[in-house]
Amino acid sequence: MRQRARPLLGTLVEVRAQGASATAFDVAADAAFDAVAQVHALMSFHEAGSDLRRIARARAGERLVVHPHTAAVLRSAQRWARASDGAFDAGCAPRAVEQGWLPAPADGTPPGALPFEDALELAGHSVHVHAPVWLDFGGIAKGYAVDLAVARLRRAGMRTGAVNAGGDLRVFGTLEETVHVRSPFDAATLWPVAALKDSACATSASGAVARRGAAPVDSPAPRSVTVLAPTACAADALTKIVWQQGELASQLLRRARARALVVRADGSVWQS
Amino acid sequence: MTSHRWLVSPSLSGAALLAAAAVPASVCAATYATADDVAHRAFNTATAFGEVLVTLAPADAAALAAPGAAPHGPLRTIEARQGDAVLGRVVVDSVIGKFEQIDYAVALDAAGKVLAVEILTYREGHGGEVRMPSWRNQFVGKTAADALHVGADIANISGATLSCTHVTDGVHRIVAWAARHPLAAKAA
Repeated sequence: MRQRARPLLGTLVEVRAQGASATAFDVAADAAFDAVAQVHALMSFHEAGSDLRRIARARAGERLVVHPHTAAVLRSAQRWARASDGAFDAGCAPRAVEQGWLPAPADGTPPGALPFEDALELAGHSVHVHAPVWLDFGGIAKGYAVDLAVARLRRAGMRTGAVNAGGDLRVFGTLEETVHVRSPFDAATLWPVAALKDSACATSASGAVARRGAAPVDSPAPRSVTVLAPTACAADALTKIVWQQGELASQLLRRARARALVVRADGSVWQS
Repeated sequence: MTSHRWLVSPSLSGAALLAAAAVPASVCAATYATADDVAHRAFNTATAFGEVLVTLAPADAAALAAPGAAPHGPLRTIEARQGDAVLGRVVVDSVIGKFEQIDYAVALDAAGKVLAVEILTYREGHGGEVRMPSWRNQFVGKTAADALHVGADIANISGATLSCTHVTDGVHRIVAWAARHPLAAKAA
């Protein structure tokens, strides 16, 4: 198995593939890294030239054409938002700005109260802005980047391998991988929780939550949610939904051919 | 054909039971590339590569160190040439994140522009330190959402958000150093 890693998407992106010559692997890995870097440039809330910031600048009634990748992630985000009755919310950037997790865009149009899935109407690659929205795709853009990187590796002739972007992982081909999740109770401990083949996995863990005020130790609030799904984009979206809905997300998980493992603050575990 | 399954049984009812199968994070390490690999990829038209160990003046040694860290030791670089022309160089550095040590290489062209940043090796844990609760407590509320996978030869990545910040900071320090010590001047 050949492997390379680069710092991208604010995380470390690792690309692996088997059976190719060193040169063939390098060409494939370069294509995969380029794809990830492109997703970052299009969908970063930090970069003023990104599609997300263009949407944040748009006023009600404007139409703008976005990159096909941005349109694909937006379409997916809207589908998850509707399927989860809003538990998945990509229109959360104003709250993140308020909390100081994201920088306030000086050029943004003040966002309205309409849910993002209703505020933005997508037709092909054209976005009709019914009300201003500040999108933060967060993890699903990372998951999408992982899926795209896997597609580039396959297109370049790699038959089996894996892409891991700081925990959003997708394995393809005949490779079977054991997924370890860091214990939310002890950073030095890893739990081997799942085996993946031609599948994906994402984890949302305590760090992200602790910033929002850590749950007390005797609470049934989740500390770590891991989702296995056919794509990294779906796995990442579902971690956010399961985080909020817990077992109520069971049906959605089944429909998405996905499974979830929740470790709660009180130490209890739920899995589907 | 997509397949995935849990390795933890549904009958488990607590993190304590999960912990029975746990492995220490400190066993995790991965090697991705050598500095030579990075040099050959970044400068594929080069006809010669030369290792240059740069002894740093005290001001540069301080400027290249992470905040609060000891002054940087001699800087390992690889210069790429095509005939008489200097194409650029690769600079090797290490950063210590919260969970990990990362060796990385930055390829810069002759004008000092970054061509690529690649991770060379990754090591989880800080030896004994990681077992000290007070040391670990610094992470509470700071860690990113991490899953990591451990294959047959233990290749994985975790603690990624923090470590990436440190790599990015290190790259900025190297770019600033390279701007103060241009290759063009040296060639002339």
